[in-house]
Amino acid sequence: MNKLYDVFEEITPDRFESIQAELIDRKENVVVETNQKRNYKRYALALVMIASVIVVAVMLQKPAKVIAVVGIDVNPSIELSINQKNKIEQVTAKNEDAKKIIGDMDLKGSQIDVGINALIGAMLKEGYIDELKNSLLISVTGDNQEENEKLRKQLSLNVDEFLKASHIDGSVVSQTIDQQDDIIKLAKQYNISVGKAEIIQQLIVKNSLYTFDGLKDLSVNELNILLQNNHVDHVNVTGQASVSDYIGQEKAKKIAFDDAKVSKPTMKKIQLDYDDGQMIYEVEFTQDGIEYEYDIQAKTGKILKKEMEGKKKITSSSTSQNQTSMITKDQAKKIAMNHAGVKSIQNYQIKEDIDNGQKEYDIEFLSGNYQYEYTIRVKDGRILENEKKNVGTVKITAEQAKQKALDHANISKADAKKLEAELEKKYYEVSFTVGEYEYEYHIDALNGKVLHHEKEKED
Amino acid sequence: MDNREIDQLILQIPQNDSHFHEFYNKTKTIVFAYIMSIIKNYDDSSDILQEVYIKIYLAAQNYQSQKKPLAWIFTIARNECYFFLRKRQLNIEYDDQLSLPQSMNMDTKLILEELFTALNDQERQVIIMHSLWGLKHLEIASLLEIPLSTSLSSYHRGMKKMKEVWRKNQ
Repeated sequence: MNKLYDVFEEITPDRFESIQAELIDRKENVVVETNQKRNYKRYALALVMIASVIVVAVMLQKPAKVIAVVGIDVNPSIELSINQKNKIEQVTAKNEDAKKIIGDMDLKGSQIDVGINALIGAMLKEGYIDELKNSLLISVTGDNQEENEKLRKQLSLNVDEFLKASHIDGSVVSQTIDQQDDIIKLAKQYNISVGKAEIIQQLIVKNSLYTFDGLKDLSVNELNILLQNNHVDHVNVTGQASVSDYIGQEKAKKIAFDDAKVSKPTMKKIQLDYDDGQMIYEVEFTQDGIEYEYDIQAKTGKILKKEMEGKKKITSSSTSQNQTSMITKDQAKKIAMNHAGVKSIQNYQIKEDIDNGQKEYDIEFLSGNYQYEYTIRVKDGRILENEKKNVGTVKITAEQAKQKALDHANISKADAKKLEAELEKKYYEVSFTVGEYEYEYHIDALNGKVLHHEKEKED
Repeated sequence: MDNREIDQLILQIPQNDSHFHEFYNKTKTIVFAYIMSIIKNYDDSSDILQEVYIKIYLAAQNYQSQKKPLAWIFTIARNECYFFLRKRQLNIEYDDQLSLPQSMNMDTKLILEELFTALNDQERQVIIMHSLWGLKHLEIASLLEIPLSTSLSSYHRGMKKMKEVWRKNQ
């Protein structure tokens, strides 16, 4: 691949002089946090209140008077429209819990900070804020960004103090929102508050694995954990998100270590994250040159996924392959099945490949609810990489999935080139080309339904 | 990329600017390749490259060796790219078209055009991180926050396409 390097070397511009010139004017203090550097222990005991202050500049019924909207999210979701004097013009309950909290309180005409304190007081009393779900979000939206920012600062400080006075060690998340139209549209579409929609939007920008659908049902506390783990800097956070509802890092580590049967591993990473609809601990460690990676369900400690990778020795000469003994495809299959500890498999696929100058078999198969993938060195049958993932109940074979896609496209098998089917979570990704057209299908692994299809002209 | 050497160079940046220059020369190609793989526009990528090295210089004052200097550099580069894209999205619909410098060797141009048209974003990124940065698939999966299997399959799929292109061109 030196060729690729040469290509980029040729076009890479030399900006060193302008970098030096620019550096003379810049004296910022930049701290880079990579995954490995984070310290998560500090979450352990923290009790969190996330408060996000959203000032939304929406034109409500009284456009002349309302200059901003303050949103509060704990689980009750409330929006307060305010006028130039920071007095409350209108209170809107955004969900059922909010109606319960507001009750017959009449906040109209009160100062915004007084109103918010009253609401938070009621939430504490009603038990919406406790050790497990102690997050509060306050958001400010308005036309004047400077005013929004001032209000946000003031409110988050007030809330923080109010919580401390109530002997709660909380975490207040606060933000101002511009870009209102898109966010309001999204909030409406998913039936959540504008503040939450903005937070989710920020998370998606930071982490391409997240989707709006996946995050919309998370609690404010869970969102706060993700905000901190993903280093979203658009919001302001005081305190730490509560993790009391989870098994804790120590226990997650122990579960992974016990399963891997390691005694003195070197920790590489442990982090709370959100994956496929649930909170998980990602645990990574090494021992004896083997890298382990576990996903552990944060609430129960169940192992959802595990991976191992042996240390690869890169051999510089690629010619020696033919002389040494080589294992056959059948032997490789046996090695993989023995390692996986399974007797019957489906959807078996094997491919030969060359990586780092050595020949490898890429093997995939399905057994029970799990999809297994192995990379095995041809030379000596050593397992270089392996992965096991839960794909749910699969009743359709790869061949059936291919056929379903072909039937739908009305193409005969003989005409389809580069026909491939790959099992993703709960569906097969089937792709093929006919003439100058590329087809892509998603076929439900349980019932063979066509979930998605597209046809594109190759350039 | 020699991890130890890069690690040492970053540690020495605060002491002497000549180390910064050496570090710049050693890493600029892979950093630029990564930026280009996301941004696709040559001029914008050049500006981001400049900003990334400014951030690296400033951040080096607080650098603590974790023996993973490439992950550190990658994080800075990625943040700058995302910051740029976010800024652009606020103003206009970002033009995703490939734009290359005016003058270059025909061969280079062909390979780059194929790299950007035949491969999808993920395949391109994984290939650049594996082949140019020398990162292991496990590291790539963790940095891009994708499953290991996706990193592997993207790499293999992408390389297959690139090999076809090279064969055709010869």
